[in-house]
Amino acid sequence: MNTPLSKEMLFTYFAGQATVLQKQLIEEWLGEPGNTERYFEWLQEWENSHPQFLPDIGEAFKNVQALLKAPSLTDDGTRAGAAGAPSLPWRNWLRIAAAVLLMAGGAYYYRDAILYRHYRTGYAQSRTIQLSDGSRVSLLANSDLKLPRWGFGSIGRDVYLTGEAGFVVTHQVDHQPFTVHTPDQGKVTVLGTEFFVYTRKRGTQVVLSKGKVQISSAEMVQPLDMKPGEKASVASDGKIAIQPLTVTELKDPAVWQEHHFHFDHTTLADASRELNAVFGLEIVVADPALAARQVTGTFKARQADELLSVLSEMLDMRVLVGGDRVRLVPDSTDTN
Amino acid sequence: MTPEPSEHLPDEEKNPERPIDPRPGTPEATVPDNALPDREFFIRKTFGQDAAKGYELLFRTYYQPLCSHAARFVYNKEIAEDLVTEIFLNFWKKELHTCIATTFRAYLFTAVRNRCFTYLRWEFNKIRQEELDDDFLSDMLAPDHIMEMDELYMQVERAIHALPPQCQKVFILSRFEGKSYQEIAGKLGVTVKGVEWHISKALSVLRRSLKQN
Repeated sequence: MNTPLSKEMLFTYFAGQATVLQKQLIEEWLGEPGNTERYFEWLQEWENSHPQFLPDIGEAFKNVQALLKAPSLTDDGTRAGAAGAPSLPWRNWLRIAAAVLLMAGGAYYYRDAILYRHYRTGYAQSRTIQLSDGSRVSLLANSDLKLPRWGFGSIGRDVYLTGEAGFVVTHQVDHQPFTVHTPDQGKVTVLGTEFFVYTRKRGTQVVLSKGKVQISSAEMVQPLDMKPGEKASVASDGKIAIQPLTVTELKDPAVWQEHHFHFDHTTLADASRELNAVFGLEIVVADPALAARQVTGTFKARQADELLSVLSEMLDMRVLVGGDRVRLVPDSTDTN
Repeated sequence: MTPEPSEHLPDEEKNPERPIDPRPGTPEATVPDNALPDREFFIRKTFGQDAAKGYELLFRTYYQPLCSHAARFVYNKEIAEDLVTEIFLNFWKKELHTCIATTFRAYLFTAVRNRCFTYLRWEFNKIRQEELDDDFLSDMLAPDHIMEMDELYMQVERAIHALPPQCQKVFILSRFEGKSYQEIAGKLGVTVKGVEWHISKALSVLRRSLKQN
């Protein structure tokens, strides 16, 4: 009638060490009323005493609270289970959210936060990200890489870049393309290769080291092919120009990653605007006297912090980094 | 009939044949007076008074064991937490505390296992996203389904256990810990290409062994 079973036997089973006969016993036991609940009770106990890892519950709960605080949309769509559409719970929520999407900036952020994973770097930071398909992205300073939480690698491999990053993309057996989307509606599509993308307000540039790449823009929808050793520039009007790298540029990638600045009695205010255009960095110069100071010279920098550090010495100022912007202030330790 | 096995933990003094009836309002049947109160009952009661408090209690009780359990399937700390979080978010959005007839524990563990199953299926078989479906169906508590899920994580464990030691180490650092290829190469004194090779080997072993499911 009742199959007696000890907790110990279940524990042995959970650990993957039950014999075939024991498993049969357990299956029988599970068929008897009430034992399923007992099974889960013991499973919980077993997990608690043999954890695979210990996540931070406090952090996790805070995260959940934040995600739930998203502008509330009564889930009238979800309970009934939308006819026909199988769904991740997000989907029904999103259908309702879509209408208010553009009105409430907050809604967009949370939808984005749920559907996409963001990797961000700040001022003078860089990081390497490894994607689930084995591809690697080296994200440079003040940049943002966005990719879908789910589905990456299932229908396609799509990432969204703001800023600058180097890519080493794996070739998939099913020839799945990898696409980098840039904010100006540019698209760089590859099969498996190495390339670098720079994309900020002033335009998009792509440099190809290895493999084959197709590049398109809103203006030039028919993609153009790029070969290794070439650089493509997408201007603000969407036109794409492809040119070969110079010999020096070919030898050293650092060279083509460098941005050149020519200042000729340029005020710091104007120089900051230039830095903003090139690096996407917000720079604030509150002091009018400082903003009016002029700088002359040619500079090369891969990242904003390099240039700002040079300028701070020349102009007697300090660079204060906070949040998502940089403040330039006069250096008070004046030894005049 | 074998005698009642001796249990070491105090809350196992309960009669093993006691049916557990967690529906709100129904008192636990035949609970011996000296048994510790079932956590489930307390969580349910709290939901009745203050849903937000009940939810937090639910989360704090089950988050860790669920993540640990999920990790046995997906072998990835971050994904395990993501999947469990998804289940909890769904729980709140659909107000499941008002309509689950089993224990929350049974629901949560089953939902997490199903989610892990569809995740693995997606990862290794490239199922389209639209097919991912985590609705809770009533036959999810059938013995053979339960044991099928068990068999899945045991298979994953066996496959990973059988990997050659270096391959296993690399795989765990990359997948479970989420370390970059560079970090792993540095840590183990191998090249990045070597790391890539180990990982693709481990993935193909895993894929082959899961194909049988």
